[in-house]
Amino acid sequence: MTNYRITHRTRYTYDAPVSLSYGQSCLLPRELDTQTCTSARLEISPQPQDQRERLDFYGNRVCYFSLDQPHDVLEITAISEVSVLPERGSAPAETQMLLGDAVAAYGQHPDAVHYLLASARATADARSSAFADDCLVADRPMIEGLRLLVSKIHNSFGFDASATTVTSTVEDLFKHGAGVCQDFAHLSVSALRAHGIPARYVSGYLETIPPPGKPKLVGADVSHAWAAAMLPSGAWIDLDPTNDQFVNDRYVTTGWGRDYADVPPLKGVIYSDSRKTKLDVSVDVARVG
Amino acid sequence: MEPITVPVASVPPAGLLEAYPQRGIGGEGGSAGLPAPGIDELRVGGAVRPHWQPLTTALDALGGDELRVRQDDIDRLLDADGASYRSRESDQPQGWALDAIPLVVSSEEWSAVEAGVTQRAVLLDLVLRDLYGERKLLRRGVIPPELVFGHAGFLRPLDGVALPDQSHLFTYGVDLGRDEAGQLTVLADHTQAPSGAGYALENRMVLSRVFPSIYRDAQVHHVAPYFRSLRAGLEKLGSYRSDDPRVVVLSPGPRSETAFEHAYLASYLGYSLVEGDDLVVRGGELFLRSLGQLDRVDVVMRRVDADYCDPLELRPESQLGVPGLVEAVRRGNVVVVNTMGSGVIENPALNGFLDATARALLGQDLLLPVVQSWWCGDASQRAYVLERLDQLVCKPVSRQPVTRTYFGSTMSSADLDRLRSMIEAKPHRWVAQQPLAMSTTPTLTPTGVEARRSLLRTYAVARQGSYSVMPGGLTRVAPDESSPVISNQFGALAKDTWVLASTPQRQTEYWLRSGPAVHPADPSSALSERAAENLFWVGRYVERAEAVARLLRAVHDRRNNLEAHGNEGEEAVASLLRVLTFTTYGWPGFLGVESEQLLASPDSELFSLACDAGRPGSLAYAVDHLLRAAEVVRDQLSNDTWQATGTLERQLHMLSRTSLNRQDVVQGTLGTMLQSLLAFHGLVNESMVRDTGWQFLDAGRRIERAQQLVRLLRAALERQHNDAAESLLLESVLVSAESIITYRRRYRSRAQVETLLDLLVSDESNPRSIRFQVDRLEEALLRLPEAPKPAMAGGRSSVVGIATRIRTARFGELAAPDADGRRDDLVAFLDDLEVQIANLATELSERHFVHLQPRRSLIDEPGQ
Repeated sequence: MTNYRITHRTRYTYDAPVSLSYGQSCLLPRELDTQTCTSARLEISPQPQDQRERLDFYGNRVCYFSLDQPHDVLEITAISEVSVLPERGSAPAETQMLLGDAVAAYGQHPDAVHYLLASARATADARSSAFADDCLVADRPMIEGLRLLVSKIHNSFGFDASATTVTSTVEDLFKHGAGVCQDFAHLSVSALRAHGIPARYVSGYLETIPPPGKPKLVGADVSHAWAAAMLPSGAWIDLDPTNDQFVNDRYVTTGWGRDYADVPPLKGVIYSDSRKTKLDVSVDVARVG
Repeated sequence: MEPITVPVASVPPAGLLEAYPQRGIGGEGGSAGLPAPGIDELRVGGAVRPHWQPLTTALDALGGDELRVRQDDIDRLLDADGASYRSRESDQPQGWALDAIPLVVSSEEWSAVEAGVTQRAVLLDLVLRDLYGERKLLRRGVIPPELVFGHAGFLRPLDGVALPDQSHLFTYGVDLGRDEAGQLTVLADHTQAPSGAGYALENRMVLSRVFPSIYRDAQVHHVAPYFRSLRAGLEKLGSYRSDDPRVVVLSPGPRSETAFEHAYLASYLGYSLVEGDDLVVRGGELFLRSLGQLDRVDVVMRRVDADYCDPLELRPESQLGVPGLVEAVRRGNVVVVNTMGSGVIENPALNGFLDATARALLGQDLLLPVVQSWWCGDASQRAYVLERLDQLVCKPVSRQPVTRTYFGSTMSSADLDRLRSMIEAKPHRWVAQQPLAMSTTPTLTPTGVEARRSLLRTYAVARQGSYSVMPGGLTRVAPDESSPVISNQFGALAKDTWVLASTPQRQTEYWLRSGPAVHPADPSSALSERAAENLFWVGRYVERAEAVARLLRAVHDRRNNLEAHGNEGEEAVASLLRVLTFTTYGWPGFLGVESEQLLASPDSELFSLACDAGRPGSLAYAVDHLLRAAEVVRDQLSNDTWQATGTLERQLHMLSRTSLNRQDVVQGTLGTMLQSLLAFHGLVNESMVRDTGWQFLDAGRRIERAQQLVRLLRAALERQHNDAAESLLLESVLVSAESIITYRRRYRSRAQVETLLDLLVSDESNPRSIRFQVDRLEEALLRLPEAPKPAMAGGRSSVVGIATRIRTARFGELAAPDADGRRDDLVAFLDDLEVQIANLATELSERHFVHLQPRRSLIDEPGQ
């Protein structure tokens, strides 16, 4: 069992006062078979006049908050302690099923249909589909097809944080030839759906390991995203194309949905004459105990 | 019922409907690839159906000429009510068109429709609850999950949000058309925010006024009880929160297609008409921003599509909604109907599964037949559809901003191929339907009574665990013989729907109710800041338009009489033209460096000041802005006021199409426009309650009238002219200020500046004097609610300051010109007044009309 203390701080600095602000966060880790959240809290400054946590359609822990006093800076900090079980990532036996058999086995189960349908950011388009044609072959065991897809994405695109924004699409990824975790996750989801495999977008954290001999820098981590494929039993297998691997005990999951739009860590609406917002994000995934 | 007896002699040789339906499409083959129409509503074989008999007899007795006269009455009444519809393509609203001949439905047939619509509403309500609850229908395979999860109307943030014990489908609209055999068949369901019930009400109001005796004798079911049920239902929804619940009607605004109906229903039901920015969520509750105070809202009847209702949790780009609304609903602090999320059952592909659903949920078969449908998400149904694309009607399962319906029989083979590939790409998003024959119904056209295809939309509202169905509805007929679409977007004509009752209709429910007296709503709290501000501007623009119209007319009158006054006349005209430039802020105009030329031939500049709606300061501009402001506060103005604005709208349109060489038309229109503006004033004075809204409107009028007068005097009296020219000029000023009669009666002598100032500046009894405006303004300010912002210079004290300045002014001294013939002291006095009044206006706006700051979305940084 690995224990993490995660601190995710987001600061919005406005160039003019904000009179009203409404926000929704999806920053607190979920309870999973492989993950236990021992404590999690959200600190918002200035203090919101209204704040309430609930579970959303997907069972993610989302928090609504609103501020109605003028402010120039809004800071949201999520602090969580999570224990992750090591057996995560070991593939269940059904992953050995041939892809063609798996696709035929999903049937009309509502969850399978839900994650098979195209969504706005993971459209199961022809190009994503063609990209995965040589990986997701019907007579190949599922686990092997997934493994090939993850590697192909990793090897085909560069990592470039400047090439992308939260609104980038799979099409942009093909155009620029580079992107970030979110783009690779969207491409994976889109390609899997196009080949008849229900897939979802997962948002969370990855513990980074400093280069040999260097100390780990506090706050230098980032939030992360990856994809998950549904197995015919309804279980899921998580895959990380950004790092060319299946998800293991160095990953912490906060939420999932059809694509990014269902699980942005933060979204909001403000009333202000402000035109520019400075956004500072710092994430720290520290191994404890 | 008593038969309508008609003396044989009075029946015209060929009765109005005797020849029907030989004209039009009745009996002939289908045109433009459409199926031949089915039965006719009026005649079967050669005979008139019994339930039409009284109406046809009455109409035949009326005769064709009289019927056309009544049709003109209908058009005029609709126009007077401002009944309009705005198509997506056009910027201008179109007048609502209603046919004189109603559609008649027999009592027996309607009983079956009523039972069928009720059953369908009950069923759809159960489906809606299940889809946002347990979703058993999906897990048991009754409804394919694609139809729900792939539908744009399924809103995940609303999952699990339940109303206590109420129907989730509050109002329901259903389109019914006849199949070949004449059976009324369901064509489409409307569950998002069904439109048209308000138009049906307006149709009835107008037709019953135009045919009072025919309507009374026909024993037609009233539609008003439906709206009483609607109101009762809304109050019931709010009763969980408050003994005196506040209900608002949320509209996308005056530019939306059915804006007329939103305002009409809001004012008929007595609720505030609001837009998203009028509402705010605080502490998880919804409030109406009402002149600085926040009034809690308990129920929202929305006419905004659900996905636009909350930019935080739904479409972030929406400017029509209220951030936090979904959360407020989730906490049970406000009820929104129809529930956000109700759009998911507005899905034509559901029809293929509703039989099984009815058996599963109700243990019943559907009573109303449904148009035959095939969902392309199913492989075998898709194959069937693709083989017969050219015979079917295809449409997407989710309504889109502009939903196209594809009539296979009217499409080219290339277009059919394109449709095929769209369906093949995303088959689960498509549904195909068998074209419905539809019935024809007699319709008054310029060439006679013709047979046109018709479609009926009726409505149901949740009431005590079941539904009340409107006995009637909105019938629409195709714009011409060949059009496959019957939609107001494409010029359809409306008809009233007369459902016959088996007994004479009496009003059974009244406004009066027993029980403890209800406290009237606080008049100021019902008014949103947006409404208050627009009423203020209605007042300002109506006054500004009047001032410009009067001055233009004075200029034309002087010019028309030039010969009588020689050179002095020319000088007076030139001075008036300069005054015109000054009062309309129309520089350089007649005051610029090239003014000599312009003064010599002023026609084009005068034309522009009258007709150019794009030019601030012009008459057309003021009227255009008056109409825009009035449109926003339609629910605050009386019905008759719409007659005045309707006339203004037509006159404005006429001005905009007049050419430069038709000064006669411009002058004529100036006169009629002035009459309309005065009619508007009169209606405001005589028909509006002296509530907060009226105080704002009146404050706007007073401020503007005072400003206009100050500027008129400033420009006209700046310097002295020779006696004859000055006399003509002062006369024109008095005419413009509508005080010439009083002046002549009081002073009898030739015009003098001093006495003119007495009458137009300081006379407390002259409703056209500045002093009078200031006094009224003081009264208005006393009656306005406490300003939300702390008083700045203090509105009332500045009014008192202006009054003091006027009282203590020495007009004898001010009127006397200096050695150069200039009245600099008077100019300084008037300039000071203008600044004071302008400050007052600014102060009033800033204190009472608190604008929300611009709204935008916050986004996060992408992960890595």
